[in-house]
Amino acid sequence: MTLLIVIPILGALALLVVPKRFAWQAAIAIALAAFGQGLALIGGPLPLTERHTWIPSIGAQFLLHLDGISLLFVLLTTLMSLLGILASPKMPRLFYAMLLLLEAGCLGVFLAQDLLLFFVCFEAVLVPMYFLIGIWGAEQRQYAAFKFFLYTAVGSVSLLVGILAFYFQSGLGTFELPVLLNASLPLATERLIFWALFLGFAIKIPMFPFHTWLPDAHTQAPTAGSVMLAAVMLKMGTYGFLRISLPMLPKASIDGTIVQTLGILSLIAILYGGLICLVQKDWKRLIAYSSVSHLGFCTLGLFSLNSTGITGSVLQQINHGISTGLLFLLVGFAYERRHTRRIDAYGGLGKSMPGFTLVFGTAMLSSIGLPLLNGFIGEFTILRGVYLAHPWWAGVAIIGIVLSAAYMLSLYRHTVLGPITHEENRHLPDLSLREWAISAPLIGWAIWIGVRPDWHFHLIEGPVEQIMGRLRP
Amino acid sequence: MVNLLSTFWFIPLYPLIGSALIAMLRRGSGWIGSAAVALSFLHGLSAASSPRGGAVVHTLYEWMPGIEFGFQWDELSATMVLIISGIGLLIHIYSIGYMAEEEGFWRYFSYLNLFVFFMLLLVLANNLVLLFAGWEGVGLASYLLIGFHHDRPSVNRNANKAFLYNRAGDAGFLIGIFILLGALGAVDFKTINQATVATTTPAVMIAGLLLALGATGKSAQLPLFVWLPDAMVGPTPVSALIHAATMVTAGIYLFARLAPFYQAIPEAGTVIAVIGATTALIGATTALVENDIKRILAYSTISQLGLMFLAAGLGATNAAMFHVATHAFFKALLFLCAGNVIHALRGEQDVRYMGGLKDRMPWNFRLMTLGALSLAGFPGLAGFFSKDAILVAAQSSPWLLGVALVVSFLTAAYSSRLIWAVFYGTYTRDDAHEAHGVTLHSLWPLAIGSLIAGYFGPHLGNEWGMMTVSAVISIAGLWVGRRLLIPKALVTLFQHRWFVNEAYELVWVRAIGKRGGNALDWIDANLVDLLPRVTSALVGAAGHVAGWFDSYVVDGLVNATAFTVEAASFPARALQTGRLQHYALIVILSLVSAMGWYWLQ
Repeated sequence: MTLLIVIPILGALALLVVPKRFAWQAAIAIALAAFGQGLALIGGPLPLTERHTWIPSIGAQFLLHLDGISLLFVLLTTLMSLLGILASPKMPRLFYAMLLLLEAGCLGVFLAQDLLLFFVCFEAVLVPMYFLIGIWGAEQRQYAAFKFFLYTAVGSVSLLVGILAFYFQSGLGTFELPVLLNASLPLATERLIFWALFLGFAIKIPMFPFHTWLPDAHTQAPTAGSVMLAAVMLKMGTYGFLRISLPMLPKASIDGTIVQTLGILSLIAILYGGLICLVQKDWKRLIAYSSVSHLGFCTLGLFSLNSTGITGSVLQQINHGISTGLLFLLVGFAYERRHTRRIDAYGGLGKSMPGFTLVFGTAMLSSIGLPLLNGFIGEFTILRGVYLAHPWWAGVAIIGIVLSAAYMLSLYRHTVLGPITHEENRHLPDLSLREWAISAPLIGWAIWIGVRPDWHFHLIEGPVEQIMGRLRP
Repeated sequence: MVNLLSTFWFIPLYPLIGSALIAMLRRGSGWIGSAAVALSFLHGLSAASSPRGGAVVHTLYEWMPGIEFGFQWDELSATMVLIISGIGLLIHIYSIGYMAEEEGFWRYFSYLNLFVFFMLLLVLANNLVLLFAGWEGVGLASYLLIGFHHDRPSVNRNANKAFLYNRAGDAGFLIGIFILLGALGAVDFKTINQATVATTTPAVMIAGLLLALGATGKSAQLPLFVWLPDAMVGPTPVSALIHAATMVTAGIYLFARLAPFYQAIPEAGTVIAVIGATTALIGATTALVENDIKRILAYSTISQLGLMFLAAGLGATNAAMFHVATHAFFKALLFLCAGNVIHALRGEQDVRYMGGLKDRMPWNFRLMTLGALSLAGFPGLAGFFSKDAILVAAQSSPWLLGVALVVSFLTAAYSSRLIWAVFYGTYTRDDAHEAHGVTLHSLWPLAIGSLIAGYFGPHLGNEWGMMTVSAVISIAGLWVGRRLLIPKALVTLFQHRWFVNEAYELVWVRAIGKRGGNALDWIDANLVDLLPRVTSALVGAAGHVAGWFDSYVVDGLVNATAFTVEAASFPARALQTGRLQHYALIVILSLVSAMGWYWLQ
């Protein structure tokens, strides 16, 4: 597992001495190696733990832990990094190095079982992403990069305060998560720490009302940046709730006020994000807001606090990575041809790019949760759990699936359907072999989960049961 | 030999494979598509004729926790499979001729096969969730096919509308599933149908109503019926297959499938019956004043589906399913004949610009008249018997019976009006020609069905009274329909579908979609984004304050300290002149002063 994190880091360093001409190929090779390393974990024994000394004086260790949930996120991260690099040819070496460092940081977050290590990785991904947006972004990249960095850094500070507070309050002298679970803090303390962690995670997800950095970051980021941001980095927040807040602060997590607050914020995100999507004129901005709405489903599932809802939430986080990752890749393909994100600059692409239209249609259907594709399984499982916990939450959230169909169909209609309204669109080349190769694994994964999700359920169930064990009084 | 009954779950696979194959090969699509559906039909036929005891259930695997990917074969699914694949096959063959000159021919057949796959999945599923997969899937195929001519104006808008109205119903359907999952622990039909009046809770009743809401979306009933007329922008064979014969009957199939369950919640049944009666009336009155040939048929479909809802709501699912079957024949026949008329007139769809086609298209005229008479319930034809079954079922409530009779009368009237407008009167154009080839000959089986399907329905016993009333009403309606005068105010009301569509447009699209979205977008950019902006402004301001504090207060203190020290040091500094004489003087003065002070003591 350490190798999994080391490969991209060493690769990033090695890239700097690779001749410029081969930078892309080298980056692909490194990302492929990491992905292969991730695939190699399938079928191996689970869970898997690796321990190295790090800062013994304060009880921090380099402690990695792989269970079913982590495995899914590792696969998602390594795959999306690979596809992101594949989708970005002819970039400078530093660009690929940043993407690989980002990958390493994300993997660290999903594997760390030491709070300090988790925090370091959580924080470390900001830097490469800041440069990816700030250097290779669109016209307002510096504003967006700055906003992204500052906003999430504020969250990180709050997260650090929460982690340190728990560390000192527990008096156990270690950052090792399983050991810290033995601590039992009074409810009032747990609540305070919960809100401190909440700010860190909620900004990262982002939950309403902390989401306004996301549309800016997404619209300005280069394709690979958007893909990593949407598919992987947003999940760090939900993952944090799942791995840290829920098991470490069980009393606060089942506290009525906290649960209701998070539920209502999630419901607002679902409806609010969906309604805003209806009037967006920028392709990437629309998908960014749709992420706010979809992540609302994920947090809603988490705070249903039953195993069905949490299982659905984890699966839906993977699903969102697949479908939104693909959507951002596709926007990137269109952008490379037309150099605009304005929806009204497109229209009628179905005539000139039928292959693109087919893939985009599939991604759209996956995103709006059509049965036999992945999104349905996730949303269905979430709402099934949410209904058991709070029937009215499910009743409100279900409006979100009508909204998602409304804005995605409208986007689909205005970009690929209809007559060609701009001459430039008439002779656009259809998807190249490389672009097909990028899309195919994600479509395959989407269909796999949609038709036969049992392997995924199987991976998620065990760890979720452990978390549920902490939450049951 | 392969046992065709135990492998009945292959039936949906043929068109799925067909759809993919067509998309890959992009040639020979008409024949591949037809062959795939023919395979489903033959497999269905042989499975239906195999002897079996009771329902056959086949589970492939566990799809989601507690929900199987399982199929079920019984009388009901067999009927539906044969209707779908049989009529589907005819419409595929018809389309080979009808769509021959269309750009994107292969795309059409790929979608049409995809539709048949989802529809077969819907009727073969053994639980609500897998049924829902087919349910949403047919909605997708319908969306794709309505939008087939996607470069024509308003087509995409109408396709979206169809999908969204269905989705709204589906949202209710899903909640219904969640309620049942919570209350019963499973949603396979066997478990649901074990519910009894004694064991049902109010929540289960609500679940029944929510499933019915899904059915009103799919089967174009109040409150979600407005999408169906607009769906007529799709190719005419699509209207025949999806929007008349099969997909829109999914709601009635659902009630038939869950008949024991709905018997346990009679309140929900009453609601369904009232919805059906109301919609039947709205549809029939609108069909009476509509001028677009396809939209007349669409409103007719809405109205007929309303009658089926009425029967199903009263528990007479046999009668409803009977009407589903006969309606599939004569409505598909009507649509395909209408398609031939439209083709003959090069795209003209307004009946006011038609007329006198009787001699130009003699066979098409005869076939369409047969369809219209069957729809009107002319004695002896298929529609007569199935409608009669519904009227018999409606006898339990005088109000519902009254509405059903009025609707029957109106049905005969608009059927007659349609035939008179299209085929009689003066011929105004010179280019019309008779349909030929597959577009004519694929109609024969449908015509035979419209003629005789009524004799294969459930046996009703001696209901001669109702039959007589029904026959009289039908003939009266047909007579009146030739020349019908309706007050202008009513025409306006009917033409606007009783203003239901306008009200929705106002609320959903303008008020919530556009205004709401724009308002929230503004709020997001200007108010929610204030959070980081105000925070950063505050931090910035705090920085300025701190800077000021630092340079004036903190630094000031430092400076003040320095100044005080300096000021205090001024006299001392004055003394420090650096000259030896002065120091000597100071020393001497000090010594003298000290000694003087000592002496004074």
